[in-house]
Amino acid sequence: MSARAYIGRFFALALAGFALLAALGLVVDGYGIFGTRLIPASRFPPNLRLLKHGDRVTKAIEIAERKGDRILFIGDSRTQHGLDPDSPALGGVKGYNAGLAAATLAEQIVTLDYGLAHEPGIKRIVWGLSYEAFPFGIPTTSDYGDSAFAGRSLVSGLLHHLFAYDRVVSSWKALLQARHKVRAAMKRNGVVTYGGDPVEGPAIAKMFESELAGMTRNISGPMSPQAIDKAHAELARRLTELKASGIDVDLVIVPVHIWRLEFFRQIGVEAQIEGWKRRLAAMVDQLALAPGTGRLRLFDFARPHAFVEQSVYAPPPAGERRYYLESSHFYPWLGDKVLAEVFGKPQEPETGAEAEPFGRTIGKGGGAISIDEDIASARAGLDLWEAAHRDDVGYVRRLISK
Amino acid sequence: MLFTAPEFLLAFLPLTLAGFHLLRKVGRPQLCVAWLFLASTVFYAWWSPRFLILLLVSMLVNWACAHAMAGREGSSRKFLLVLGLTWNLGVLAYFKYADFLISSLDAVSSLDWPLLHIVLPLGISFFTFQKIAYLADIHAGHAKPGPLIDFALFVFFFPQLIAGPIVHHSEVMPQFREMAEKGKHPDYWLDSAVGLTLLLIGLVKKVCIADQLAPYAAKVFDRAGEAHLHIGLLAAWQGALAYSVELYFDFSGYSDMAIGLARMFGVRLPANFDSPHKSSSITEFWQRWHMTLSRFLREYLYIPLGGNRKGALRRYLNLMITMLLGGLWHGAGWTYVAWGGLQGLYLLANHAWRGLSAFRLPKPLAVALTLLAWMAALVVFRASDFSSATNILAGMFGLHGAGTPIAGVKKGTGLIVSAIFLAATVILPNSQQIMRRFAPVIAPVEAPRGPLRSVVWTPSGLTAALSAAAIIAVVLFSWGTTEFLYFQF
Repeated sequence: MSARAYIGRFFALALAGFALLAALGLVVDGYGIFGTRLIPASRFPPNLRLLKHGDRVTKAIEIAERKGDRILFIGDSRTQHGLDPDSPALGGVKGYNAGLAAATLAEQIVTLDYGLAHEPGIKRIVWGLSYEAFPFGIPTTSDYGDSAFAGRSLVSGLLHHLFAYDRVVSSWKALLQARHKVRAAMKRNGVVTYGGDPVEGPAIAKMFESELAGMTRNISGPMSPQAIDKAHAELARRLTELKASGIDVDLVIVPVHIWRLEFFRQIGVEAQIEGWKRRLAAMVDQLALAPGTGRLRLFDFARPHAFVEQSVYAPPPAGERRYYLESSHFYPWLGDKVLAEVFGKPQEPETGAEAEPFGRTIGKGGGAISIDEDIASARAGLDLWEAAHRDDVGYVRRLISK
Repeated sequence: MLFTAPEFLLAFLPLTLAGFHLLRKVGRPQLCVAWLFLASTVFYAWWSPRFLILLLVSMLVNWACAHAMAGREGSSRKFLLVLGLTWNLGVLAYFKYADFLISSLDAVSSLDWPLLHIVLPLGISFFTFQKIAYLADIHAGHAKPGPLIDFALFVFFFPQLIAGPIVHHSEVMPQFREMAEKGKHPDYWLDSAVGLTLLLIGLVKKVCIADQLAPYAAKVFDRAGEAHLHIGLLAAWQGALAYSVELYFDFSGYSDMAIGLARMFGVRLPANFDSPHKSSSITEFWQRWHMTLSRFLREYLYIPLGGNRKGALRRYLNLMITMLLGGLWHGAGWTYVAWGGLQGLYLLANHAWRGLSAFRLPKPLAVALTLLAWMAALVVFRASDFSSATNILAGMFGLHGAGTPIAGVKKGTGLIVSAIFLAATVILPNSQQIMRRFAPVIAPVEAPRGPLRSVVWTPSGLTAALSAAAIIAVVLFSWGTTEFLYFQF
C-alpha cells in the first residue's frame, strides 16, 4: 500500500469509528443532556451517573441549561445523596442540588460561584458542611479539570459525553441493559435518587467496613490547623459577599452516622471538630453585623440521635426506612427531616427516642441553642450511646486497628 | 499548547502543514522556513505571549553573539562567548533558580527574604542548552553562523521547542535549508505517514498509558509527606513502580511525538530513548535514557571539565559534578540535586566495579538490578521533600510493614498494571525499531533481537486500521490529560 493510501485509509476508518461512537452517545443519551434519547429513561442501569470520578461535567452542563432555580444546594457527596430539592419542605420552590462527590470547601465555592453566575434568580443557598471535606484544596483526581466549573467550554463537556471512555462504556452498558428492562433510578435536580436501595445487602458491609477500617478514608488523625484556618477565612469572605448581595444562606452541618462519630472520637479528632463548629458559630455571629440583607443561619445535625443510630447492617425497625446507605451517606428521607427543620416546615410527629429534636439551630433566637450547649449535649449523647453500645464501640475500634 | 490538545491536533497542526506544503509547492523555500518559524511562535505564544518576547530577545542576543564571534579571533572572541553564556545562564538562573536560592538561604540563615514567585518560561531548560551548544561550537570553529531565519527556526522549531530532543545545530540546520527546496524532497506522503504513525505511538504512550498510571503513583506520593502516615510495602512499591513507568511512557511518548511531528515536515530528529529499561548497567542506562541530554552533558560539561583524561580520581569527580548539575537542571530543589548525586554514585560504583573485577552478573539479573536502582532513585526525584522520599523508601524495604492504609491502594491493581507495562518496556521493541524501515531518526536503528525482529511498520490496511484504533483510543482517554512531566524541567 502506498503512503498516500495509508493516510487516506487511516482517516476514513478513524472518522467511521468516531461516527459510530457519536451515534451510540446520541441514541442512548444516558445523561439526558442532548435530548436525543431513543430508549425510555426507565430502562437505564442504576449507577449510570454515579461515576467513579463524580459527575462534574454533567452537572456543569445541567446548571448552565437550567432556568428558574431559586434555591441552590452546595456541598459534598452527603449533600448530593441526601438533600433533595423536591422535598416537600421547599414547598414547590424550584431548586438544584449542586453537591459533588468529594467536593472540598474550595470546590464548593467554585460551584457556588458558577451556579450564581448562571442563575441570578437564586435567593437562597443551603450549604451542606462536612468536617472531612472542609480544609482541602480541589482534588486533582476528580473530573473537575474537565468540567465547566474549571473553565472548560460547554462544547467540550458535550463532546466529553460523546467521546470520553467512561461515558462510552456507560452508554454501551445502558444499551445492553435496556433490552432487559432494567428498572433504574436517575438523578433529577442534581440529587442522587434511588427507586429502592440498590446497594444494600453485602455491599453495605463492604463499603462500611472498608471505609472505617481506613481503606478508603482520607483522615486518620487531626487535620492541619493552618489548612482549617485558611478554609474558615475563605468561607467567611464568601459569606460576607453573599450577605451583601442579599442572598440567604443556611449553613447545615450534615448528619453523621453514630459509628462515624465514634470513629472520630477514637482517632482523636473530636476536639478538632468541636473547635471547627465553634468557629462556624462565631463566624455566623460576627457576620450578623456585616452589611447586607442576606440572612445567615447555622444548623448542626452532626450529633447523636435515634435517626443516626440505626444499625447499618440490621434491617430497619418495622415500619421505618433505613436512613443510611452506609456509614457516610444518608438517604433523602433523612435529608427531608433536615430540610424540614431548615425550612421551618411542620413534620410528622415522631414517637419514642425519635421524638427528640434532631438538628439544632445554633444562635441566639427563639428555638436556637448556644454552640456550647450544642457541643456539650452532643458529647453527652455520644457518652450515653457508648455506655449502652459496648459491642459497637469495640467493633469500631477493631475496624480502626485493622 | 499541548500536543494532546484538540486545538493542536485539529487546528494548529493541519493549518501549519497545509501552509508549509502550499509554500513548498509554489517554490518558496525561504518562505517555508519563515512559515514554520511563525507557526512556532504562535505555538509558544499560545501558552504565554509575554515569554515569547523573552525568547525572541534571547534568540537575537545569541545570533548577534554568534555573528560577532565569527569575525573575531583571540580574547575578544572568548569575551563574546563568555558574554553569550552569561546571558543564557543568567536568564536560566533568574527564572529557574532565583526562588530556590532565596529559599535555601532563608533556610540556613535569618535573612527571611521573600520569594519572588517567578513563573518558569516553558522549555527554558531545553532551549537554553541548545543555544549554549551553538555558541560553544561557533567559538570552537566547529560551526559557522547562518542566516537569521534558519537560526530562528533552530531555536523555535515547535516539535522540539518545549521538551526536546535537545538538537545539535549541525543536525537540523542543514535539514531546514534542504526541506523546503522544491524537488529535493519528493516523498512527503511517506514522511507524513511515518510522522503520523510516530505521533500516534507517542499519543498512545502519553494518553493511554502514562496518564492512566499517574493516579496510582500520585495516591502514594501525594500522601507520603503526612507525618502520621507510614507508607507500607505494597503502597511504596506501587508508587515507585507506577511513577517509573509513567515517567518513561510520558517522556518517551513526548519524544516520539516530537520526532513524528518533525518528520511530517521532512526533518529527522535524534533519538531520545532507546529502550532504557533493557540496560544491564547504569552507564548503559544513561546511554539509552534522555540520550540528547546525556550527549549535551557529556560534550559540553563532562569533557570540558577534563572527562577521563586526567586520571581516575578526576574522572570520578567530573562524573559527580556532571550528574549533580544534571540533577539541578531537572528542577530547582534539593531532591533533584540528591537524585543527580545518586546517579553520580551509581555511575562511580559501576566504573569502579568494572575496573576492579571481571565478574559480571548474568544479564537478566543485571537488568533487574539496574531497574531497581533507577526506581529507588526516582522516588527521591518524584517526592516533594526528603521526608516523603524516606517514608516511601522505608516502605519499599519493608520497614513499615503493611503501613497505614491509603485510599485507593488496597488491591495491588496499580502494582500489577505497572509491572505489566514495565515488562512490556523490557521485552517489546521500541518506537524507532518498529519504524526502522523508514529511518525515523538521524542515526541508524538496530533491529530488535529474537522473535520480535519481524515487528516492523509498513503502510498497509492493517497498520491503517491500528492507527485509526489508536487515535480513537487516544480521544477516549484524553479527557483529563495532564501536562507532560518534563515541561516542568
